[in-house]
Amino acid sequence: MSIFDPKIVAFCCEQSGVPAAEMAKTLKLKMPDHLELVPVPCSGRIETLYLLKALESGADGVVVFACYEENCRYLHGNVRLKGRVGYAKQIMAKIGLEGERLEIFHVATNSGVKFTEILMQKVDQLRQLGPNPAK
Amino acid sequence: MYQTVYGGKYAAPAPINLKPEVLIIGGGVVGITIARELAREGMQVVIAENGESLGGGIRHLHFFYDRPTDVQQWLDDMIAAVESAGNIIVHKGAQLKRLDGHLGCFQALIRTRDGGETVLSPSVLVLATGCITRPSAAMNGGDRVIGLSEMEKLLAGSRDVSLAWKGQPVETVTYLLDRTNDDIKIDTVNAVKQSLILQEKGCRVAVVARDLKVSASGMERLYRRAREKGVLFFKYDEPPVLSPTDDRVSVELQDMTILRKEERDTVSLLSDLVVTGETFAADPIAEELCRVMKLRPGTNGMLMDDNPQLQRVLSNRRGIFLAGACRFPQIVTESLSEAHAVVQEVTALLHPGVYAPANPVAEVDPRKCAVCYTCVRLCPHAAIGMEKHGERNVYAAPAVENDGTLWGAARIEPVACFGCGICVAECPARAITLYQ
Repeated sequence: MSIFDPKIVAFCCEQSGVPAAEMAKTLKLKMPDHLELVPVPCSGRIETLYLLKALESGADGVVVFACYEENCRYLHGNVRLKGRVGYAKQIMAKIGLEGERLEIFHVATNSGVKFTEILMQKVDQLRQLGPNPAK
Repeated sequence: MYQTVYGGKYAAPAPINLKPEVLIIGGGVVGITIARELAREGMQVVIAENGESLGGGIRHLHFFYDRPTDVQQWLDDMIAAVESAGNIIVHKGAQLKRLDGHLGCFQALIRTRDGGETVLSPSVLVLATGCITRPSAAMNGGDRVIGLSEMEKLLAGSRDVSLAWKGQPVETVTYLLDRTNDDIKIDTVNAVKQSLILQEKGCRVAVVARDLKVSASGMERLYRRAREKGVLFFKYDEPPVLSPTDDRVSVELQDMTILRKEERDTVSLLSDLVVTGETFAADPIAEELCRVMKLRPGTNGMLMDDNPQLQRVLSNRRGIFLAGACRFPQIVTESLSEAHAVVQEVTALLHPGVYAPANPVAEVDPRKCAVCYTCVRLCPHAAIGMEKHGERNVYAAPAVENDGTLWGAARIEPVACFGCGICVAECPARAITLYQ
């Protein structure tokens, strides 16, 4: 039996996540095979629906790369995101999805290595959880 | 080509014209430095000073640590230059009471103490209100414990004569620092600067500090010179104990040169005067100004943002700049470099004469807007306002016919929008689009 290869959708804030992803690409670090990066101008742009739609349309896990709190270029975008992710998790719990499938990570522009480490860890975690039942 | 949700075409926002007019709130040393340099660039500058005279918080300073100039003389020269300049208008006893509009067309209402009101329309505002100092909590030691600014006044008053406090000569002075401000370097700078002056007068000086903060330009050199001249520096972990004797104050502290704690002896410094640091606080007017100008206040009413994504003098609104001690208490040299930074930013912004919104900006479909004010409250840049719109929106009662009534809808000012998309994600009616 082949090993389950989870599909990850990563929303990246253009102030932190996108430069970190670019750095990881320049360093040629190992990335998950099935990864889709979605750049957003600020993590505050991500709606609750985006997170749930990603899970609905085939992602096994959704990660959001946002700036550290108090470091948002738009002052409180990542705080707004935190609330929405909490709301999305509530909905996921109601329909029986594991909360680990959706998570926020705070990165800085220079955390290319941390970026891939997080993603590889997420892949391991999702392998144990198995495929997304809501697919 | 961008296609809007309701079928219209997305047109790039029109550039706006910028007049070379600047309003500066606060006529302290930062305010007048900015005014002078901007006036030299040919801009029309208005200074609104809350107090009765220009100068502000620097009035209690008499010596620079890094240059031999007399502060008050230097300040008076600057004020004279500002007041005689043709394109600088100074309003004294004036407060900003209302501020509408955005970059390029602010509408500022200024009320002077005698009740006069002026409406100005500057393109750019600079906030430089400074901070205030308060004497810190009384310490055991009677009237021989004074603050740093009191010492500064004493030194300025006895430039060529020997130092005296209440008629008695002063021979030994102890500085007790870091009791109130643990993370501000102004106290160290002032204490080392004053100790050198005292040493020249023949006093014996000791500086007792938890940590000496010499992170200002030239301060390490000044510290070394103080050591060479014979100023004693002591470090403490536990706060020293002050006890008044009949005509002196004794400062008792532990000898930190011995590593083992239990073997430490107590050192007592008998001194004629003990000088302590003062508490810094934001100018009380800054809180109200933040509300009027829709700025985000930081910790303790100071306007500093510990945010690496924001440049030092920028605020959360485009066209409003911050400089000087209203951000956090800082030494004059640093305040002046902030003032120069503001001058550069303002000149770069106003010099082309037009401003074209470069970012992708958000746009509201007025027909979908439910006038719930969610976006207005959430916008971190105060770019959204409500306005009457000709087209009727879908939430209007069906019985009402479109009889030319103007319907309310949110409007995002493209010039003030930073394109973050927070409003887009939050809009319950999904009426806002961000063009990328």
